[in-house]
Amino acid sequence: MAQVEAERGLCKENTQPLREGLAVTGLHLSHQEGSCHAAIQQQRQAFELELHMYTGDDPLDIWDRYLKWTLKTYPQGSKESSLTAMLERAVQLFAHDKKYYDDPRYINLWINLAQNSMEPLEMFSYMQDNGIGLTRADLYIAWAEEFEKHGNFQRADAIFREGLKCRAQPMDKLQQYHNGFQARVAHQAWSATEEEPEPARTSMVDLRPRGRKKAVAPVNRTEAAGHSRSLNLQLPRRSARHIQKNPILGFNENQADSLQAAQLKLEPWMAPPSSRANENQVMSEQLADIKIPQKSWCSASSVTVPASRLNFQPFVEEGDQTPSVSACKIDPAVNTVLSDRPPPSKEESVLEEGGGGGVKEQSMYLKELLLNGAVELSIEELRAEHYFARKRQEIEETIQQQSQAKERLRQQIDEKQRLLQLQQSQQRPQLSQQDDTGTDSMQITECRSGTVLPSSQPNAMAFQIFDEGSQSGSAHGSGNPIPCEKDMCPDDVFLPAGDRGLCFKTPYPFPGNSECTQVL
Amino acid sequence: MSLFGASTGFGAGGFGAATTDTHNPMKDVEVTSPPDDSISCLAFSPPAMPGNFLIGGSWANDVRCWEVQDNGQTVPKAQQMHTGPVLDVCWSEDGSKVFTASCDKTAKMWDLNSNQAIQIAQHDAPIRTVHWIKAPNYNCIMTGSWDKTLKFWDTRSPNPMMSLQLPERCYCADVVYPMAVVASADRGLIVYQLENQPSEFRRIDSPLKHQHRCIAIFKDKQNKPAGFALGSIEGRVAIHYINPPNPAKDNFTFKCHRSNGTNTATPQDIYAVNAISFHPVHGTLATVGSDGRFSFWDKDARTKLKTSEQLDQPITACSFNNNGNIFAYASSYDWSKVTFYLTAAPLGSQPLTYMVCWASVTEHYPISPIWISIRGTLNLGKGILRGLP
Repeated sequence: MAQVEAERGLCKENTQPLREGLAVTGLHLSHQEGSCHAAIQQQRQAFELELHMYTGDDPLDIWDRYLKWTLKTYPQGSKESSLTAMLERAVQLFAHDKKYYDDPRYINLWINLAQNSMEPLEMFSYMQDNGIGLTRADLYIAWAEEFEKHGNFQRADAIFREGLKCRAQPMDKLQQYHNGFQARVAHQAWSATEEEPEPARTSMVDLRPRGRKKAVAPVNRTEAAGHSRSLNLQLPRRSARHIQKNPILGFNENQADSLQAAQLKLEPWMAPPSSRANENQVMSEQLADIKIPQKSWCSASSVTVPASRLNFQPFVEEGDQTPSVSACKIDPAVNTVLSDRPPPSKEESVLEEGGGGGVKEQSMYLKELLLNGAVELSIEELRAEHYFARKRQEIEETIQQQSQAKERLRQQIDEKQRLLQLQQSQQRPQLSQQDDTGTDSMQITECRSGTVLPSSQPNAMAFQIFDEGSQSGSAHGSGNPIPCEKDMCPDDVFLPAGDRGLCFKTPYPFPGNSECTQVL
Repeated sequence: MSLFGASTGFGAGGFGAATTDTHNPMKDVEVTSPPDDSISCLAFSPPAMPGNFLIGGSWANDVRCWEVQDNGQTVPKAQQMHTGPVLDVCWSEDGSKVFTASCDKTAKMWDLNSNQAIQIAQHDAPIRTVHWIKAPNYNCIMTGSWDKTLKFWDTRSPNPMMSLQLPERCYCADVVYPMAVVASADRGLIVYQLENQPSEFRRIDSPLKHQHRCIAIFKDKQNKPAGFALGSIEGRVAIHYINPPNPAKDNFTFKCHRSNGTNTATPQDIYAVNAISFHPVHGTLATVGSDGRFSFWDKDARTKLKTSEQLDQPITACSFNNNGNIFAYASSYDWSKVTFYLTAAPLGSQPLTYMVCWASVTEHYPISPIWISIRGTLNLGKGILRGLP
């Protein structure tokens, strides 16, 4: 154990931190080799199985848990986790279903994919263009984070504003991150420009143009989202140097817009950016077949940002904006970005003339059955999985039935014992001659039976069959309505049968007090 | 060029039947007492044994043995059970033992004389293939499993003689001494040579684009293994030679088990190729698919010889007997689609066929009949099909 601790300590620096914190169990597993590797494999197989067998309404749930488990178990982001492959498969599976576009779990998948890919910014752009996650703060936060990492603070700020403008939920979280970001930037700017006291003062005056271009119109520097647009007539061309020198002036939305526009990608998205550079890897066939529906670039009506991106003249209302890029339909069949397979070799293509020659083909097996999980299955494997699942269910059912039968039997035993005790206690009052004791005894019997616990074994022991021979004292034992057996009752507490007095043996027995109120 | 004219469309009565009997449209002999669930594999007895015995493994955890008599009648002989569905069966070369591989991760050796079965192999995952290897200096069983290993067992020892690592789960395999070939998941394809001791010979880039489903080795004129036929899950078979003089020309693929051959208006349905079997004498091959048809092909002439009528269920397994007179195929629900259906007992019979009505259908899965096609001399080499007089 100490060795494990030591190992874990040594490897700590290799563990990447997770935003939500690392789970200790996951760490433990990932640092121990050998036997735990098998455990990990089993857990992974369990997830795969679940993916293949799931028939309910919410398949995204399994993927979500799978992702969390993978992040937990392979925190250092090793290759074995095949995280990217799994994420790619997951996003593609749900790409056609718009109802998931606002589901925080689906967005989380996308964000993780983007963060683990080569071009996260492109991924985020793709998401935005296709309307994925636009109403959730997570997208904007992750995207802005990415920009911040690259040092591109204007874009980051613009992203935050966009999110606020779109009222992405939860808004207070977005605002909080925005504030934190601005504080960081301000702090950085302060520390960078510490030797220049001048910029601190220029924040109080109008923006002075630097460089060759002169500012023409007053520039609104408020940071309120979306308000200042209409006031700005012409976008002054500011040099980046100027902006860097005056970071505290706040980020002028128009400047941000122009920068955005300058970096605008006018061509529509053919396909999501490839998440890894895998020119040598032959992708399996299915990826090429799965088609992500390509939204026409300008049909993203729910998103106003693309329109505003084109907005070189900020005073034009968005409603009047005509898109400068004509809508073009992207042929979904042209989706070669994700598929890095080399084109079929010559000898194959000569013989396959039917397939590409305009004859549409339709596979007569349910592809979803085999391709649902992250790992492809064969028909026999799928069927075997169902067989084993059915077997497990049957075993569980038999176990359940057996335990139920056992429970029933136990209850019957209890019932029988209770009846036996009832019988026994009914026999005893008949032996005593007093009526009141009889009634008392009856009461006591009732009480006794009322206090019989389900596990009646010890009580049964406590009430043995009253031996007539030892009942000589009971006839006189009117003062002791409790037929407590001599051998069972400790002598120093209870009066033996026949003694008159209190049930409790006291050093000074009080005569004449025969009512014993003690009841078991 | 097809000598018989490809039978297209379904329901077209090729045998003069007034009503289409899709259950047994070929009017073949039906095997009695078929298993209660889908049949996964069929194997005929080797030449060393007199008579024809057919072994069939099924998803009902059992392996059954029938004797097929010359008049076509089948007699159930014996049965063994596993604790999981049986995925593959094979005979020893002397015909005294049958080896069965199952989802219960074991393989058993069934001695037919004593009707005892003992376990001879163990894997960590269901065993998908089992083959008997008879080499001059050793005999063993080769088992391929979904635990990505290929193991070789001497039946007398509980430990494998050798264990080879596969790149992925084993999906199908075939052995013709001294060659063995294994097709795995992710379109893996490995050839082994078995002389002296089994070793990996070559890894081949798959000629097919889709999941591998079935494989069968063929022999050349000198009766030596020359290559294999590989079937995929999307209606295509690849013929691949190991050492061809001209690989680009000698290796080819062909499409099969597709519907709507000429009709381009509707999308073409593509079915999985479930099994491939080579005729022992003529070298022609038979393929059976999920579309419920079997087809015979000539790979040297690159032609289709015959396609059967469409059965109502997919055909899941097939086998030629040792001299090629008998072709057995099994029709059963193969899970390629999720729906399944019940079939009713056929009515009527013809003098040539010996149809036996079977018992009522099981609750969840339809009965899996096996048919024997006895066509006298099934001379596929010349494309002549002669029926029984």
